[in-house]
Amino acid sequence: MATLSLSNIQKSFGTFQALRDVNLDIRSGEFICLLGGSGCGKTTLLRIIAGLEEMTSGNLLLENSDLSSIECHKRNVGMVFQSLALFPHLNVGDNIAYGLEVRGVAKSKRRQKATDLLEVVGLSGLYERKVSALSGGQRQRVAIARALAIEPKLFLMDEPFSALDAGLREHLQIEVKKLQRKLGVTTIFVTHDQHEAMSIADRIVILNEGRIEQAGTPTEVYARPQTRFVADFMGTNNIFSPIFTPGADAMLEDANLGRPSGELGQWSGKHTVAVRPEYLQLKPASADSTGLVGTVDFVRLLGASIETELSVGDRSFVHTMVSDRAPQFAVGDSVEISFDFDHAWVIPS
Amino acid sequence: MKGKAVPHLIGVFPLGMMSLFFLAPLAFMVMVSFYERDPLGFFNEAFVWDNYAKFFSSFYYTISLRSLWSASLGAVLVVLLAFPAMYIIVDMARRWQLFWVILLLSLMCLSEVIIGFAWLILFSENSGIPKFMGWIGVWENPRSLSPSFGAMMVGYVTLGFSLVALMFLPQLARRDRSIEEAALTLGTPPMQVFSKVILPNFKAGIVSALVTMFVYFLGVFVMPTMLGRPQDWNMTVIITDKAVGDANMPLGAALSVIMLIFTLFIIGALTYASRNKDKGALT
Repeated sequence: MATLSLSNIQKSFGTFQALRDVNLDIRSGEFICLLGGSGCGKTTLLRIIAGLEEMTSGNLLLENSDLSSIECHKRNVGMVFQSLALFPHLNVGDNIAYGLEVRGVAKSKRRQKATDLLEVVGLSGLYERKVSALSGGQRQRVAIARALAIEPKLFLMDEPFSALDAGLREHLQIEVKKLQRKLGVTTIFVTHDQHEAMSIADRIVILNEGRIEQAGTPTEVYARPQTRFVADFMGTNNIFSPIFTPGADAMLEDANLGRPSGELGQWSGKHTVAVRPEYLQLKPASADSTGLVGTVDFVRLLGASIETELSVGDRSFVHTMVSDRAPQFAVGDSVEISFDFDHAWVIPS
Repeated sequence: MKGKAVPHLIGVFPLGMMSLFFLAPLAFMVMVSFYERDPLGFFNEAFVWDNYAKFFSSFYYTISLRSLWSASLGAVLVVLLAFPAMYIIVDMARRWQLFWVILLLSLMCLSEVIIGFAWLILFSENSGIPKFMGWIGVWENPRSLSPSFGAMMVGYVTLGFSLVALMFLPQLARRDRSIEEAALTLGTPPMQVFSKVILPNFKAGIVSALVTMFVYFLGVFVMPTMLGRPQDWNMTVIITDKAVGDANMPLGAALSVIMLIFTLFIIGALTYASRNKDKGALT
């Protein structure tokens, strides 16, 4: 298994700089998710690792040997493409065995290997089936089996589930994670979906405009975002910048947010904080409320939770609570928003 | 129901036209093929097999085989050249793609006669390629390159190239390029991606282009007469010679019917073979 080291990776397409100084070390057997919006450089980075794209500058080392000098077809990297890229002229089994055939593996052995992999991905008995006769989920599994058949040093996946419906997507996320754990293959998974990244990654690498914004475990990037972009990207966060005064209440313009406890109580000046929606508390506003008073704009049921959108002047806040109770507030209600500073995360400037 | 009737009615028009302008002359041709030749006129109504019997003389038999050979070779050459050329063109910058497509469309606009004359001049001893090669010292005693089988093939390729290239254009332009990338990541050397992945994926399109060109080249008249030697002439030239030159319309009609049956048989065999191969992949 592999230890991949990326240092100072740069990639330009003409005047457009797709990747800027990307530095990342990936441990053997790790499941990494490259997460970011469209055009952030995540697929470009994956393609550079696969050898399908040349980097403009930087170093790419796999087990301390230079990967960039090795041609794509000699890298032994298994890749699942967004379009899956199954070979339409081959049946399911031959698709899976293709990489082995190229490597000169005997027919009986490659057939056995393909049959075994079909069993692993839950498609036993479909060896002879045409790929055009498969469902979307089955095709995904064939693409995964084909990439794993060559026993790759790195397993790369480029938004493989983006075309699937939510149910199947979640099911396959779990299956891929289990399979990766079972095989222990170092995996790099590209996605733009933070929920997907959170559910399967050992470590999430968030990219923005070709730069790594933050790399960390799902808990780290979710609970302790290092930049405002990460705080925004990792789901709905209430981000605002109160003024702190040591030993006094924090103020957001005229609204009193209460006395920060612990280390925050010693801070001074304006700092940007993020508070997750589940940590906000709402109560009906009274005429003498000095806290953060807002108006309910929208209330919606999201299955397990109820989400309430609020506005305070030109700022928006989001509150969520479990849906075992009926919504407490209706659109147009005036509410006071509060939170415990223990649940506020100060975004480093 | 009303919505369905409209397309059906529209469909009746081309079917009617096909019957009128294709099937009716075909039926007439089959009928005439059994008539007797009238040395003083056109033909006399009769029902004789003599015209078909003549086909089995070595003369017509040889010409038929030669027609099949030249049409097959022409079709293969055109597809061999047009497919890789288009594969390169579709990955060029947009303005270069446009340039080549316009050039190919322009080539399609040229008549067979103009193309034939152009090659006649280029192959001529006094003003074409041989003269140029003699001038640069590559060919010591240059002589005219036409008429010859090679010159005729060049004419065939010029005729069919743009048609086949434009047939491949949408297929190649819309292809999923990640299939080729997948082949690379799975260990296929770049030089083998074309033969191992692209060609098999375009098998149906290639066979279709081959059949189209084969049928087209069976019927060409101008190129064999302008660029080929008499021994290179195909059945179309001979049929014209018999029907118009010798005023033997029944023999010309019989030869045409035989060529039609040959063509249908070959197309049928190719279709059957390709279907069987697909079935084989399933079992």
